[in-house]
Amino acid sequence: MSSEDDELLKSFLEESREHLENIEADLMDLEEAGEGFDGELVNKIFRPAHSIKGSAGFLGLVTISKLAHTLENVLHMIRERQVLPVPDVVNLLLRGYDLLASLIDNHNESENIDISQTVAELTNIFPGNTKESSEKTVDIDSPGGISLFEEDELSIEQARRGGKFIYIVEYDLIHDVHEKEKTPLDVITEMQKTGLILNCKVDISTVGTLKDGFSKKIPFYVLFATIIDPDVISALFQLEQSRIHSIEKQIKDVGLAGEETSSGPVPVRTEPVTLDLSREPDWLEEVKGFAVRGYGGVGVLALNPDAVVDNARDLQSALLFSLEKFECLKLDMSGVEEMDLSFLQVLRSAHKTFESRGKILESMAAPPETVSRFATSMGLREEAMGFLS
Amino acid sequence: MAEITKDGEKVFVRPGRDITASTVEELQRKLTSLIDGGARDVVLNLTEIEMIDSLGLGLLVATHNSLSEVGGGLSLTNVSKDIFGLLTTMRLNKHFPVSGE
Repeated sequence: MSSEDDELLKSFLEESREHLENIEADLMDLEEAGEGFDGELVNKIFRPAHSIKGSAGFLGLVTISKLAHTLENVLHMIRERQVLPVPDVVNLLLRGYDLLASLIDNHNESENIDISQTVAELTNIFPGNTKESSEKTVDIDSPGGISLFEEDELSIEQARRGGKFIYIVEYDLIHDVHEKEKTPLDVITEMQKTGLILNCKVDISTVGTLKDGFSKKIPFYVLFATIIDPDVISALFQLEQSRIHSIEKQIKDVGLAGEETSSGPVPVRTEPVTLDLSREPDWLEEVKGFAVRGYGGVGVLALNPDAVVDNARDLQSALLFSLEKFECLKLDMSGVEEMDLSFLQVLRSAHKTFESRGKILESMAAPPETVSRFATSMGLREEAMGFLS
Repeated sequence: MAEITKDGEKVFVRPGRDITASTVEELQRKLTSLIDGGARDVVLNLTEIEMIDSLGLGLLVATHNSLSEVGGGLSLTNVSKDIFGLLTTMRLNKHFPVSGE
């Protein structure tokens, strides 16, 4: 190295160390200021990262430059108020600046030091991803103990109302999707037809890089809420039972499980419910495209021909609605000509849910032959759909 | 054949056809050689592309990982409505920017 280079390097090192001296104190001030932070304080923390990025780059210290750049990005987002300086974020910044200082102290070795973990953590900070520390959240882990999601308690509560189950569905996009000649879009669409995707995550680190040969395994975890119950869901998604996990235990541990799960079986009413359809309904409304009539505590839900294919989600909503409103719901299936498997699954699950609440779900008359034939062709046992006859 | 334009460390790649099992290998080779050649920021222009299958997704994620490793990044532009919906539902846009323009 020429003596000029030497000089440049020397002044870079000196200046950088000076810049970084007060960073920790400044970051603590920033965290304390919280939402009401002063733009000038952020600038004070931003400037060292910015100038180190530039000079290090110029001197060929790529790793140092890269880390500085990542820190700069986070501070920029804070300055723009896209991200707030909550403790989690400030801690990551502290770690980042610490690492930067030690890279500078060991600048000769800096190119060989692995900073990918810290960079990944800092890059993971983006608008909308940071939560105020006061919001109550539940950590959802995979069965193997990998931390998957952090959901706010309110969303979990809302999803569980009306007898919904919440699962972690574990797909491997190669094994479960590609090798079964499906596309990711197929899978997402299937799920959205029968429930709600609360959150999901591709495990990108397992996929590896371009040089690793990325077509071995692509883990995709979905946090899914649906009324479809455990013995049916595996058939619906064509996934082994072992890949579908209920989060009941996890949320029970946090005290979120409601009375539905802890109370014993509810007595099912046995008297036949008679219905006089010649009189006017005392209640009539359209729920998600389905006509629902009310006669006292008895409801009638009419299934029109075009309402039963690709419409499981709306049907599910209409059924849940009726569950709350009536003691007994009768299904008018006279108009049903075509249907899909999700339709039957939703009916079956709904029947179980009604039963668990001591209520009745049944067909108004014998269902059209098309329904029984279809159920049989799908391999559903007679007793599974018996409630419809 | 993919259209490629370079602008310093930034490279614009336009595959021009669906990213699926049959086209993934070639694209992987191309991207690997670009990164080996110094590309840091790769902008994938997905104009005219209607479909990305599981292997295509794997390729996108692997490209993101490879670029992150060298301090760069991946971004997607001109994605179709379906693909935009897919990538955002799968929360992949949390790892790399995806836009319709």
